[in-house]
Amino acid sequence: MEDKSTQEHFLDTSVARSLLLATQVYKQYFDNQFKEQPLYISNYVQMEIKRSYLINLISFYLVLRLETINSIGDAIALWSNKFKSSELKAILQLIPQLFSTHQLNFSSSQDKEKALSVLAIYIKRFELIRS
Amino acid sequence: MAAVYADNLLREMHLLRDKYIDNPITEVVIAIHDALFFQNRWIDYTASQYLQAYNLLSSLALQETINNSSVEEAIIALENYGFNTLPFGVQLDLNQADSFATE
Repeated sequence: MEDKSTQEHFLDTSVARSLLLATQVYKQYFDNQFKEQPLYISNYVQMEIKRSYLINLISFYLVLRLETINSIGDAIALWSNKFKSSELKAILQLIPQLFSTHQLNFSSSQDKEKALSVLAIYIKRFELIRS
Repeated sequence: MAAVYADNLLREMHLLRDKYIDNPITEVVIAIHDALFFQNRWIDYTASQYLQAYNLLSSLALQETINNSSVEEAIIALENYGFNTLPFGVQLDLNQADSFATE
């Protein structure tokens, strides 16, 4: 007889995004709901998340790397002026969390180089784990 | 006392990041760093998880050559041990991808 105790879930965009990017409490909620059950996500949804998040991160990395940008604060200021609000939103949420955890100074030119390395490593890790 | 150990660990990790950023093992150390020190989550991890992370780093350090795939395997192993190496929460605009598609 077929075992019906294991349910499989095909996630839509809203759940997949929350599962991958939401705050810890929200992620834990989904983890509790799904437990060890198999989860599936379509290639289209993966691409959508990459387009809406990963590409913005890479763009911010390139802004931060500009020679005319001396600090993390400068990059955020330029980003704020250059890009529309939806693109800005994800970056402005991630950058303070990531760089504050690394205790980087937003005004320091020395910490700009550290920030570039930390951000590059984060982007690689996101691509590895969330793909 | 645990907080003192955690602070020492944090300083050592920052030292590695600042001095040896190009060393592949630093990438694994930073993954552990982010899991532990975002919102002081080091408190939530268990002794056995710390032991697993320690054994993982030790075995990685003993390898003759550390290539990209061994770094990736180590990071995935950390996730399997229960370390959330991407702990940062971001709320995306649900219509954002659609707006990209129409550009």
